[in-house]
Amino acid sequence: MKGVWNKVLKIDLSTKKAEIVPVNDDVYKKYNMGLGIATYFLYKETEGKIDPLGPDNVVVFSPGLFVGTGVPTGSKSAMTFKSPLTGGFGRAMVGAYLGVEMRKSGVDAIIIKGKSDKPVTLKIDNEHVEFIDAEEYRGLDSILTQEKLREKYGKTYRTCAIGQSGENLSKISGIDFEERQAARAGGGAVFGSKNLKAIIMKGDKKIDFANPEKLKELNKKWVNIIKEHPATKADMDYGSGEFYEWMNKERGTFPSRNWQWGYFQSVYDNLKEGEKSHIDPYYWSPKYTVRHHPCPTCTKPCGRIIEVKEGKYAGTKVDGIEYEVLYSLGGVLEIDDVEAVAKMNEICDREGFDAISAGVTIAWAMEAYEKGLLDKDKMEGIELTFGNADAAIEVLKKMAKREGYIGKLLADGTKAAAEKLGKNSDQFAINIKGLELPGYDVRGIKGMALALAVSVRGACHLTAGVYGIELGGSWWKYKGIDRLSSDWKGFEVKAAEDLATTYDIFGLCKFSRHMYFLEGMPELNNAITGNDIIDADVMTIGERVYNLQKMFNIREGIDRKYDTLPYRVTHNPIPKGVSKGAYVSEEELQHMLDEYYMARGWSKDSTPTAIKLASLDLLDVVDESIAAGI
Amino acid sequence: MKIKVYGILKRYVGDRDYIKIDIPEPTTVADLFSKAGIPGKYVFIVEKNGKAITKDITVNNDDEISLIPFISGG
Ligand code: SF4
Repeated sequence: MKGVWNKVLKIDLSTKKAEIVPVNDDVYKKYNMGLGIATYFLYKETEGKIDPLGPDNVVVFSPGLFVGTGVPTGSKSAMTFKSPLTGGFGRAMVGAYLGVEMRKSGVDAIIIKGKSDKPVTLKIDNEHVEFIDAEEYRGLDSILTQEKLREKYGKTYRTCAIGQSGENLSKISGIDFEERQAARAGGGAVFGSKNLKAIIMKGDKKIDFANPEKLKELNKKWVNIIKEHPATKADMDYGSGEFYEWMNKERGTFPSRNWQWGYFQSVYDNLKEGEKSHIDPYYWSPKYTVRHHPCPTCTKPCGRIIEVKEGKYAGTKVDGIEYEVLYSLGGVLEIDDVEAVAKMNEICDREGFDAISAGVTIAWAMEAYEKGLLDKDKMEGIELTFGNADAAIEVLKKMAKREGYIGKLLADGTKAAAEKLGKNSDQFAINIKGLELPGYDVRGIKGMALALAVSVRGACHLTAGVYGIELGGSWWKYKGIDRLSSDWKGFEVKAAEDLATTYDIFGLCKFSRHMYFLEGMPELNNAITGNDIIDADVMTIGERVYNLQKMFNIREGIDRKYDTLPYRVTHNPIPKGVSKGAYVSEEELQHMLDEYYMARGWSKDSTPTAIKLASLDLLDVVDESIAAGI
Repeated sequence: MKIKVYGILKRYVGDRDYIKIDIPEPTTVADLFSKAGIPGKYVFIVEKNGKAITKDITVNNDDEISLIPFISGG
């Protein structure tokens, strides 16, 4: 097939051997690239119930089909693994320059298994792999490690690395790709468990496109559409947190103070006319932005490097601050000091933490501390109260090292911490399946509550990404959506998940989903591959890949019982603001789940039926005996 | 009438959180945009007293209107 290499690279860290494995066209037609083949190979190369931190776990990395082809915002690569945090399907998408090198390397994915006896860096030149001793980088932060590797081997290599949190097997650690993170679900710990510190890669081949002229013409068209789109300027000037103020004032769905509040009450109740919250990008972006920091081939970069030049956090320089971080290291900790948030963001990136999980875990600890549930004698003098940024910074550093009582308690996220502490502290542990919730107060966004409850990787906002549909009330084919109703949400979430999956297959950034929608994808695919698919085919590929991810979880025993919401969402209504009184009752959740499984063609316990799997042509991969029905 | 504006739309009304304009006669939302000097193509959601409305709906002087631009992020 054109546009792909029909080959993957398998690497065994135990034996230090690498082999090229041919892949036939049928696999690409069924799964395409990116998250598609990364899901397929993860499923095939692992068995159920393996130890996620053992040598049998597998990491697959594959760039989306549009990566390296000049498609604007075709920048994302997929990483899959069994998640040590959730015990289920682990996925992290990242705007990786390393993915662009892989697209030029002669292979479509790398599949890493085994465990090295010593810290190792993989150096990959096209299809050739070297195993390099990484002892000298042990304990170094992820960004410094990559800088040193590029200094030593040359700037043409593109890189990724883990920081201390990954080395210390923190289940909320991710992998840094030149200041973009494959953050969620604990991939950093999987790298750490394999003694894999870093990967550097360079490719110098040219992808053979089916119709290069057409591709050039389409790319030009999309660059213009994106340039003219009304959202582009706002994204470029203020980043992904552009709608922060509106979330607080008009929707009341910006969770704060560990979800005790539905908007940032202590800030917004005291602002005078014309004043802004200090974590509002309209306040900080013009002040601190040094330059844009785009993902590969992004023509509407939301990413920016910001720098704090004065004050006690002077010297802080970080790619950010994204919307989610305004929540996880800002509102949920009750911190409205943007310089402190930037500092914590920098620590998370360098030490290798998923900034959402790390922040929400500290918020849990702040609530536990204020409730008197933590052992104050062992806190080493840290007053971990809401709003205390310096305490949060200190705790974050301890978490990376797994140091002291508090560092050890928090290093693996809220689920592990609440289990260790007991005392009903799980009632304010904000996670689903172990993964901490993103910055949408789903008590007032019920379709989004369903999306988080059912997502295969735990509380993930981008598996379906319905927050825009729910909060705006309309988008693409959706109209008249009522965020406070629990009706018809199953159908909404199902279609949105399948569509979002296709973005992760092609490697398109979801921040351009209101530009490409679904309709933009087939002709780009066809110009690259020479296949002739239509929009319905694209949705089917998305649905197929999503069902295979679900089957990964079913193989692990993760079924309906795990499709839940945090206690706070089902029991504590939003106390104040526009969404006052909103929460998701247990009945509403069950109603939405029933409808969602029906829309999906799954059984009541959430298992895909044999008919569904057959219709998606998945029975050659999955074991039919674990399917439902007949 | 009070028109609350969000995000990038503020730059068209002198960086204010809201503006007040007088409309003696009921008018459509689309006409309101030109009166207030806000380019309609940047407005994604229009809400009248907290409820979403379309741009052809007529509004009165005592309505409170919110104008919201596109949301991409998250
Ligand atoms: S919009 Fe932002 S996240 Fe998306 S590709 Fe561009 S820089 Fe990356």
